[in-house]
Amino acid sequence: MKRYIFITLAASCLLTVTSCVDLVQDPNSFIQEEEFIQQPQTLDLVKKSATGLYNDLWSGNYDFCCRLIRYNTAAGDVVPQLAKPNNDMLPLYNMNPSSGNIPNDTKGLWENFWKVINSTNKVINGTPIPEGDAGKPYKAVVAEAHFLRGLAYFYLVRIFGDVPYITNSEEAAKEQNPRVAVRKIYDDIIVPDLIIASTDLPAISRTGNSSTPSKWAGKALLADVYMTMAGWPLKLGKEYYAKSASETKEIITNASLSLTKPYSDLWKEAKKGDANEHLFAIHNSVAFKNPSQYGKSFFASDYWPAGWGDYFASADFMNAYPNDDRKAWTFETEWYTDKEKTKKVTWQQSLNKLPLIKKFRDYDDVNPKTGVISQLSNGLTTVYRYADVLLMYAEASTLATGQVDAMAKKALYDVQERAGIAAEQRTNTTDAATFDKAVFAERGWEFYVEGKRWFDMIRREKAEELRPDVYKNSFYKANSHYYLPIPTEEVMMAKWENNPGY
Amino acid sequence: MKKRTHYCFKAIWVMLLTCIFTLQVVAQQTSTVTGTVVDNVGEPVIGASVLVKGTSNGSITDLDGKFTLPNVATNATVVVSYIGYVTQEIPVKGQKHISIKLIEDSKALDEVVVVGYGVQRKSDLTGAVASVKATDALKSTPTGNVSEALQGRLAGVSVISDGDPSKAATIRVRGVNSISGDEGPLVVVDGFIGGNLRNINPSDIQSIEVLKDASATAVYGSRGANGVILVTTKVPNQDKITVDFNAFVNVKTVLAKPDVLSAGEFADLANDFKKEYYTGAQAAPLYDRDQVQAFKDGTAGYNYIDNIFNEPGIAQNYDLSISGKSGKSSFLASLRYENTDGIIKNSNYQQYNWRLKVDTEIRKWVKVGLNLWGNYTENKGPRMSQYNGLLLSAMNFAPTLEPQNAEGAYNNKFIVNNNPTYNPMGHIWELDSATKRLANNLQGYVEFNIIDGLTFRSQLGIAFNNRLGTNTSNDLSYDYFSGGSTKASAVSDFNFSFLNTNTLNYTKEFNKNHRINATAVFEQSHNNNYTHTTTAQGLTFPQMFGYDQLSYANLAFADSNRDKASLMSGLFRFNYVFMNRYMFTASIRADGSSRLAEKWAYFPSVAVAWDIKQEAFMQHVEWMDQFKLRLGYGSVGNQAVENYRIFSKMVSVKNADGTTSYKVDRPAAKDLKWERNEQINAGVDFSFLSGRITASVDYYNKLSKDVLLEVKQPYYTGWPVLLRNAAEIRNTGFEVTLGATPIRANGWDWRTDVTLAHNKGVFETIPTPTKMQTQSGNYENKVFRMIEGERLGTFWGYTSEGVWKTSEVNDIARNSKGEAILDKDGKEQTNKALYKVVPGQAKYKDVNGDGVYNEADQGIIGCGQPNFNWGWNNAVSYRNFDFSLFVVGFHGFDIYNATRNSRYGTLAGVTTDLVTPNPELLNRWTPQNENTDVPGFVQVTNDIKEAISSRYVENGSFVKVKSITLGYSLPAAVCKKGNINNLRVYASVQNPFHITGYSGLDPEAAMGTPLTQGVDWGAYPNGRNFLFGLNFSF
Repeated sequence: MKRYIFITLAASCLLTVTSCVDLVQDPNSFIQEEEFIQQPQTLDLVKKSATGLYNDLWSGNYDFCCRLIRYNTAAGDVVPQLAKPNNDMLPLYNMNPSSGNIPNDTKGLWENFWKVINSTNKVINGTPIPEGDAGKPYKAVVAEAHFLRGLAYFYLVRIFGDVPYITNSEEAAKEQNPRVAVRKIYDDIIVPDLIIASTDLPAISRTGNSSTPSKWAGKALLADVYMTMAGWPLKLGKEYYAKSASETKEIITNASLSLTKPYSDLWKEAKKGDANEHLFAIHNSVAFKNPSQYGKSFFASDYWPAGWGDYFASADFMNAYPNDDRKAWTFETEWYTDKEKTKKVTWQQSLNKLPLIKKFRDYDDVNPKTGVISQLSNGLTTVYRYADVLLMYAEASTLATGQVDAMAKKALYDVQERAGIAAEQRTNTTDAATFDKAVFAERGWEFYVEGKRWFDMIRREKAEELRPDVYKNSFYKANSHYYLPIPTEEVMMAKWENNPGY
Repeated sequence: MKKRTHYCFKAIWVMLLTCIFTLQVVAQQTSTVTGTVVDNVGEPVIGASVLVKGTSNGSITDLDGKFTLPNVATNATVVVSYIGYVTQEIPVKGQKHISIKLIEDSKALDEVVVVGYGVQRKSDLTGAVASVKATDALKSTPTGNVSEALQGRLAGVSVISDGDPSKAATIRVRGVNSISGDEGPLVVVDGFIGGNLRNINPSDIQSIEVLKDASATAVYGSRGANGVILVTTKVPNQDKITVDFNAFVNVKTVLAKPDVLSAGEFADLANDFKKEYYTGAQAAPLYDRDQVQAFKDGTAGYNYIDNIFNEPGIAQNYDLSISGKSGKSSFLASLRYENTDGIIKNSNYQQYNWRLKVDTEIRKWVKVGLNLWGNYTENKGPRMSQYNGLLLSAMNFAPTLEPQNAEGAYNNKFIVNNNPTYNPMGHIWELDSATKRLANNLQGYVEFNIIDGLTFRSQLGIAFNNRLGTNTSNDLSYDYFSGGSTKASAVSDFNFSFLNTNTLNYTKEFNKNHRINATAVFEQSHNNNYTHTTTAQGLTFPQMFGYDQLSYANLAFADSNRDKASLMSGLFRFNYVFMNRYMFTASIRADGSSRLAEKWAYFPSVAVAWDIKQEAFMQHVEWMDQFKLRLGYGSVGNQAVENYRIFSKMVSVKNADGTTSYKVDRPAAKDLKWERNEQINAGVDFSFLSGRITASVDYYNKLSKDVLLEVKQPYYTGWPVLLRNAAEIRNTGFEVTLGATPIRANGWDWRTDVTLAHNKGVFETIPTPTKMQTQSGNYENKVFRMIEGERLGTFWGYTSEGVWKTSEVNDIARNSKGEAILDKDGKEQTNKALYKVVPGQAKYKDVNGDGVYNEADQGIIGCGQPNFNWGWNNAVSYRNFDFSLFVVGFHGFDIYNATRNSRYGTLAGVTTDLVTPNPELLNRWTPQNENTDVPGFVQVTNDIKEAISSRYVENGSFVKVKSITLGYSLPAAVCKKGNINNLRVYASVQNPFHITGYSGLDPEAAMGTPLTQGVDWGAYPNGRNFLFGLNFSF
């Protein structure tokens, strides 16, 4: 009998002490999206999630800062290493892209901007904005998301043409989303977003520097959009040049911005917080793991201590470059190939016979002891700066009216003056065509390697004029457009037709 | 977040109980009994154990098989046991002399096998269960890693090992069932779920059973889908104290090194390269004649391949155990130390194991036991990763460039294009990284015998698992080279888990015709893991302080993670045997899990078997022992769901100014459920001639449904993939196990076992619009494509057509039908104009003939899933010698030789110079050597970027001799004189050679990871090992 009492006691004891494990286990070490976005919503949290959007735009050291440079090699002013085997930059440079030969670039660009769009959609649709005046600071932050969404779509329609229309999660989740005409994307998404941005954003950006946009950055972007709508492929012409001119004029008149002097200060790590000229840029930091890719890629392989030689400057472009203060900062024409600094080569003597791009060089950190140089760097990936505003006004106002007005003239003059172009060599014409040509050239010098040139060339349809030999045999000429292929897998998944010719 | 603390410490009383030892002493009327023990052929049995039942009074038979037992009660019973023979109990009945004839225990059918939550007679099994005796396996394949000893011994259980000393072999039961949650079979040690075969002392193991089909694994419910490996540790059953000591030294050598050009040959090749590739000044030779001569003389240059391998690598293994039984109590205490060098320099694995196991019967109706065991491991090794890992970079690095310059700085560059790259030797010489793990298991049970046949067992296991991983990257390290900053990091885990299992079992044999075995289980487990990582960047004293002082740095980042999961389960199983011939088993398990939104799921199984031999009409067939048919069905789950995956997750990101912002890391997957396998198994077992020949054949058809897949969707949706229970995989196959003892006479004994297995795993459903999807994961996944209706492991890429010959380049471009591909003006055009190709560049097939190379020209180019594999084990003994030969084979699969691909500089993730020391380049295309398929040194403007192509697909089939072992045991007579039980010395050679058409180092190592099987991406090759060891017991 003792046995049964004991067993019963033991068994019941066992079952009670072990009680029951809890089958409801909520996360202990992370917060859920629903909790984060829908519940507390202090202004501080809204800011924190809006700031995360810039990380999406940066996306990776191989992404935004790097892919746009590669994409813009089609302009011919930046030359990839021609003899490098398997160099997938060559099809871009030679205007012969295909879905097979540049898969990483098409995928990188495509994914980068959709990442931004979907994240901005969350912030735009998910932030509850209080009524009345209390809502204003919220609106100002959400306007950053509008700015970024407009920017992302603007890149997409220029690079890929028609894209799906996604402004919220419900649309994204639809079974099928057709590609929507470029015009509709501009009219219904990009322009309205940027009007909100240029209305709701503060005159001085949230962070006080170019890492977040001010309303002036919003207007600069809107002006660029109008100017692009005026050219290829929509060719909306004068009306849109006029809109662009009006936006930029307002910035010039009201924003109290100024050009940084000297030009080289724009590219100094120590001065990257200055907000007089930089309107919007990605602020890169190696230490905090969002670096730019301005290191080894720009050094030749015979440069001491090391280099990958991904990008060189076009010798023709450099030779045509005006002899101004910018030039010395932009190009490197001779360098040492050894640690002791005894062997110096000029670019003509060097392995690749091409000058080097020096523009972002202040961001780099060469360790003289170990001879190690990283591909990663700090600094800014500029998107818009005041010089851009000035030259956009100069171009748009001239093309809108056929006249060179005083403001346009001064705008170009200011840029050239800051560049250190000798007074007698500065543009001094009132002939609209000549002036326009000068402005277009000036954009090339001023924004060299800033990811703009090829966009300028396609909206103004200048590929044939500026790179006749390449254009003649190009895919773009054969297929009468300038779009890259949408990544093949995306086309198959979404059941679309790719752009003509791919 | 809520806090819950309700652990089961009170249950520690279970353990306290186990610490009570009781020894019973019996005193009665006694006399001395003598006797002889002979075997079935009348030979004396030396060393048989003779024991008076219920006492500690025992003896061992001498050289003549004789024994003497003093003080034996007249009504006592003598128990005689000897390994390999049936234990006999003989009532003394006042006799003074007893003659005992032992009967060979050849009827393995009466063996008891572990089946999960209990044991079953082997003859009563209804499911597919494979069993291996650890001592047999280890005798023929001595190893410190028990998973390796299982290779080829269990049909349908694929075991693949590579050369990494810290890794357990990859084990898969009946193919791959899952895409994202493929973690291999569940390991259960002594009834406690969870464990790693690498961390169990092989000498502690008694037997290993593998539950293969779902009717057998269904008792493990949501964890049973990948098969279950049941490990049972030794239980001392002889009434004496035994000390066992085993030791071996393993001398590991490299089976084959990659073939690379010598420095002199490479210097010539590099000069040729410049001449052929460039024009003008750049075409000047890289090395002048004197330099080339110096390389050829061996006065300059460096052999990287020779210097990354460790020859020989030494592995040592020592284990010592003391075990014994005294009356109702038994114990086993063991210690083990292992120190294994990898065959790659600076890779090393050390392990300490310990175990203390005590079982005692307190009363006739209550048994308790305690099992304390654990291990400590330390491992380190250079970067063997796929992205610019050691093996591939050493293979591709110029042998003309020494590792360091005169000042001791690394030569971190490619010699031809002068681009920076990290020197391979730095991976070895600057390594300061190690991972240490400490695991402790505290397990105890109490078992009550309530009434005859009804037992209740409650067990509690607590496991503590800790890890500390440390790394310092100084200013000469790879991290510094690639990231521009010195770094140090420490990552630690503190893991606590418990498992409580309560089993009520009723086993009853009513009469000859009815036998039932019913089991009910209530089980709970909880796991709580905390991980913490600190990374310091920009070290102030990188050569002096690394991870030992993480604050001596410019910046430090911290990260942590807490993971908790619970599982509650109920199980009922019923087994009924009627007239020894009709067998029926049914079970159902309910699992409630914290990982899913819908907590509870149910896993049923049913199986029947019929032993035809037991039927009356078969009784006269003397030579047959068993002829049994089995049929089973079961539904089991795979716990492939990550913790908290039903919740969305925000992560913090650092902004450039050091502040923090937040973004969504992943959306919630609210509707997740278990992956589920439904399996039908049909099998037949034969046994002939008293077990001298046995055979089992099984067929199975297994459908894995609701397989978790990160389903690709268009990128514009914001998430390129969404986790869903959406894919289906079907595995079908058959397995044959044959065993025979062809010779047993005149001192000879030859036992041979063959296992054959065929498996075909196919994706039944891939739910994307294209019915196919790329595999996510690291680089090697680029080779694969998951395609509905196609096999797992399918390679996808371009079809290679050799190289463009000069004439072909100038030919009119034609599609596969021979029609000219016209340009947009409708004119014929040359290949040169259309494809923009030059002579000597790699040529691919324009499959659709549309005049462009794009992804539409890709297709299936191979498959890495073996069709068929087998193992053949032979154990021969003659008097005191034993010999074994063990051979395995894998057939019907391809290997994508990414290693070879990298040597052409066209592999994603492996950066190379313009020319590598690749001997194949000596036969490259030149205008004079057009008849080759090796691309030449030509400047190409239009190429497929990093093409995966059939150029590197090779037949992977191989036959490999895994081990040849020869042992000698001291004759029993000598042992007896020396008062020892056994002394055996042996020598073994492992992986002595293989037969294969594959050009890489080791086809087996290429099969490592199941979802990417068949890709050789710088895989860590197995060594050829020479092993010398001894087993000693007294």
